[in-house]
Amino acid sequence: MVAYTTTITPASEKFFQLYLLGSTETAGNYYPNNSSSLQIGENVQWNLGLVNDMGSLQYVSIRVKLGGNQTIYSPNDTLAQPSPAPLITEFKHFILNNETWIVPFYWQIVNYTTTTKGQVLIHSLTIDNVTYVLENSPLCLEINSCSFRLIFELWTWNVESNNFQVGWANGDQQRIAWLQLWFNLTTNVNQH
Amino acid sequence: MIRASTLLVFSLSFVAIVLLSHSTSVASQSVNAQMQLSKVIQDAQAAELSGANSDEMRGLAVQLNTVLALQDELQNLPPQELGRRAQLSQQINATLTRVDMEANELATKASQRTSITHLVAYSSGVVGAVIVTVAYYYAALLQRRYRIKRTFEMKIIPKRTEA
Repeated sequence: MVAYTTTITPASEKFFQLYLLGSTETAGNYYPNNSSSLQIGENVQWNLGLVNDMGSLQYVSIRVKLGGNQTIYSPNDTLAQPSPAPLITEFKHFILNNETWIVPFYWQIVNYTTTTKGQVLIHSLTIDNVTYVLENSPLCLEINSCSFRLIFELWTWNVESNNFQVGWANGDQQRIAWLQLWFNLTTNVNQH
Repeated sequence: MIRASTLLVFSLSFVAIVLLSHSTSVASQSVNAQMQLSKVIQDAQAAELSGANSDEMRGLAVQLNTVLALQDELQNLPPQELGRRAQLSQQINATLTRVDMEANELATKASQRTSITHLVAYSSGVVGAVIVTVAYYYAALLQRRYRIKRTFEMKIIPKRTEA
């Protein structure tokens, strides 16, 4: 009996933990001067974290998307669906069981454009010193009410479909992990 | 005499066929690479399930993350750098093949190690049970002998009655 119990591995729940910390690697100081109103060129430092509790090596991708105020939905937990927001970039990694993977995420808004109707959209962003020109960027009605959000979604490699799937399969169910942080775009005197 | 329009149609058809075959070839290469990656992941997970320890698995993960770095470099290369592209593709394939081989070897080694561990655990269970049974038997025997000895050492003393 004792020999049997020492040789079997107990069944445990399989899951991931996705989290985002501020510049001081705590759940705070997410924005410069603790203000989520950002100007062009203002540096924001975050730290993305992922813990693998799946019981095995996993191939994961954290997708970064830019969401607008209301027009773009967040990921759907009930239906396990990703957000339709436009993809900016993704971070891929092979993560060991019980391993924590930290991704330093330094970003800033490079510039925005204003349409003929006065709507504002973010034209380009810099993430970890790489500039991304955004296509299909979400619009906001005017510069003084511009709320955007960065959405982080966890995708995992599905060996059956040979492709990434949103979240992970836990038995018959599909689970997802995602988070988002809001910010406002504001003008400064030197801008435009 | 071949007409100019016929020549034009022929040339356009040839270009279309070449482009189509190239895109089909690229797509099938991509599918093959994805399938190869899935196989390597499955083999690595099988090695872990067989009992490969975290240090052994770390070795595989480091090599797989190197493949991701190479894939990134390949994606960011300009299309005209054909030589470097071929070199990177070869490096990616070689690394994936090596990781797959290592994962299979690890799975075999780990499953042998796990079998030995199970054998030792079950054998020690059986040996432990025999030792406990024998010890219990002798303890019971000794206790019985002691009780018999005590019985024979007993003295019968007449009971005094109080006047």
